[in-house]
Amino acid sequence: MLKTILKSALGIWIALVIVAALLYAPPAMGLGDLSRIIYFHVPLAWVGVLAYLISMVYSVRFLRRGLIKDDSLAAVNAEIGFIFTLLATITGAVFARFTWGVFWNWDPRQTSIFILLLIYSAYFVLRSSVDEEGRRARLSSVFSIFAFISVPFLVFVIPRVYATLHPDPIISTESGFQMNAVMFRVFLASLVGFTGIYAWIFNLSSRLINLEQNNRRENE
Amino acid sequence: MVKTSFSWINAVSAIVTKDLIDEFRTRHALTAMILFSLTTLVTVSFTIGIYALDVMLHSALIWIIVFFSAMSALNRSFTKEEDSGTILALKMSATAETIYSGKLVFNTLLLLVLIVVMLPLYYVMMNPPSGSNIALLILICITGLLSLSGATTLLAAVVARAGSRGSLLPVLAFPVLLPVLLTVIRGTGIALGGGSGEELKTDFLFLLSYLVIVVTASLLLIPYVMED
Amino acid sequence: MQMSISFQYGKKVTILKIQYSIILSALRAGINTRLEQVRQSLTLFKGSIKMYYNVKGPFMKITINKLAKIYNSKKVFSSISWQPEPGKCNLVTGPNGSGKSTLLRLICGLEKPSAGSIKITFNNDELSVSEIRKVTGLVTPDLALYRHLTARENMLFFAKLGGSFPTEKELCEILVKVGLAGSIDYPLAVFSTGMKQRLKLAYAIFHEPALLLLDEPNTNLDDEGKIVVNSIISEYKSKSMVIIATNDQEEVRQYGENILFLDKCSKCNSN
Repeated sequence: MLKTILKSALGIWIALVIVAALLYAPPAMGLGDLSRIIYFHVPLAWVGVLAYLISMVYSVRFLRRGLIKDDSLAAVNAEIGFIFTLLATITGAVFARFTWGVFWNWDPRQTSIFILLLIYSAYFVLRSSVDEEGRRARLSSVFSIFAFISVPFLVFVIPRVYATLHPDPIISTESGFQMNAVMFRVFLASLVGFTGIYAWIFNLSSRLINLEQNNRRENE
Repeated sequence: MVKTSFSWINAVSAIVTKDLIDEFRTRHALTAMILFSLTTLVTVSFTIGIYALDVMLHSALIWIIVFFSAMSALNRSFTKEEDSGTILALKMSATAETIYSGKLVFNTLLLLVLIVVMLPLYYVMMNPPSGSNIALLILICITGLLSLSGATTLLAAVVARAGSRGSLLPVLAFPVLLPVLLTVIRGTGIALGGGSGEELKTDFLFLLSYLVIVVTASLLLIPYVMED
Repeated sequence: MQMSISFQYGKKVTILKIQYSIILSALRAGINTRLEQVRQSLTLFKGSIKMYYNVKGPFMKITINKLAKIYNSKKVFSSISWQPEPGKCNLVTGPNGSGKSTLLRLICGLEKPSAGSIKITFNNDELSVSEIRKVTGLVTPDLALYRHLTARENMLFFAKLGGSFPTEKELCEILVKVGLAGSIDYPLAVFSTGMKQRLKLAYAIFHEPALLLLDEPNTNLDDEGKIVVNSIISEYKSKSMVIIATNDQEEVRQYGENILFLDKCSKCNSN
């Protein structure tokens, strides 16, 4: 019962967010209506990175405890993260086309998100090339942890060092992009909504994994 | 039998000498690497060697050639052990960390040979503009190589245990190596253009700290890769 | 209205801070345990020489308790309990696919059990996996030595990995024992399979192991080779723990003093 209420609440929340993003929030000064993409693009990117982080945490847990369930959860998180990151890249490219003229110009921020996509793809390629379960889990966990080394560099250092056209992130103190209160509210609501979607998909997938595991254990 | 107090250095040097002897007798990795870099170099030189290119373009070309030659060479150190089945005897006699360290040193030596062969040839065939700071160039190339081999050795072990599909290593290594590549291409460009050591200080610091982080992480993770 | 905005914002930042600190402390804990393990294994090397001289087969106790191993939902064996005895020749036998080689690999720590445990103790001190590997000599068909190196280089390499520098005399002695005296300087690529098997035996017993694991030791060997294996087993029976895995009924009859018979698992395939 509680689950149904939460699910419907999430659905209604997202619907409201979409309406608010497109109609209620005021257009920004310089960019005009184009700024509305911020309500979709940033939460998608945020969830993409968050999913990678959580996938890495599950990889670490797997290496410590050795339960296959942890590795399946890590893989599932990687899948979810991949979709969200792909959507973030696409929305970002659309924004780039209308603001700066080209879809892709290897702006440092675009490079960072592209690298995140590459890490996800490499993870999946590695997983598909090993047949044996235990070995596959161990190798992909090691790769996931190892690839994490370059992520902080890409996300935090590169945009600060190389000049980028990308609008500054909100949370930084020297942001040049002040948000008016209404926009901020809608933005936060969208952030919460997308994180909610991620949590919901994750919950569904983890229940599915549990069922599969129980099924397999019964068959043995 | 004389049993000395066990020194980690002995084991690592044993692995390195064994790999060097093996390489000297079969020359598999060496030929693959040198032929690949030569072919790429010749193609590049043939098509665009006559144009006067910007130093950044030269540095990018150098590192493209080095990166892909390195991928074909570094793959071999672990894959040849897996394929011939000697990995079992190695695992029984040495710990994973020791094996990793030995392979790391060997890979670095291989890449040093690559640079020693390739860089002069590049100078001859592509005529980068004069006025480059040679000492600085060599220094930054060597530092870049160290980071490259440090990051790739663990991934080579992962690829070898995953069934050693040939094209897997560049796919896995590229996202991890991107910070190194960006930094080192920029640094080599500056060195080729005649920059001073001052401008490259942050680049060196970055590469060395990256090397330390990556080797530490590899040492921590290698037992999980070599297990089972 | 203003308060609710700052409240939402403040809560988000606190949640982020909490998540960040949790992740950081988990990473730190994980890294600390791994560093501890690395430190232990490195200090182990210094102590291993002392251990070398003290770990002797007759005082080694192996207890296998309800061991099970599963590969990708395929059960190799489900519940094995056994105790190999020092001083006797322990033998594991069974049809193909019953898990004899797997059992040997599990004993020397090359693989981890899916359930159950293997405890190897010496003087009531439990030995860790790296300690076990240091005092084990393993011969299996999967094992291969370096093809492009000579027999001498192979033996010296593995000895050096273990921290010992054998003299020429000791090297020749061991090769004479396995019957390879004349081939000391030939690369393994020119060895026949029987000669390779003999070299594997030499490799296994070179460091006088306290635990000798032989998987099908008589494969590829001619009659002389079989005599060599026989003499090795008789010699090591009294000073090490010897466990043999084999299919050959002849070997079972000849060597089997404490036999474990593995049944082929009947519920092997699962969906």
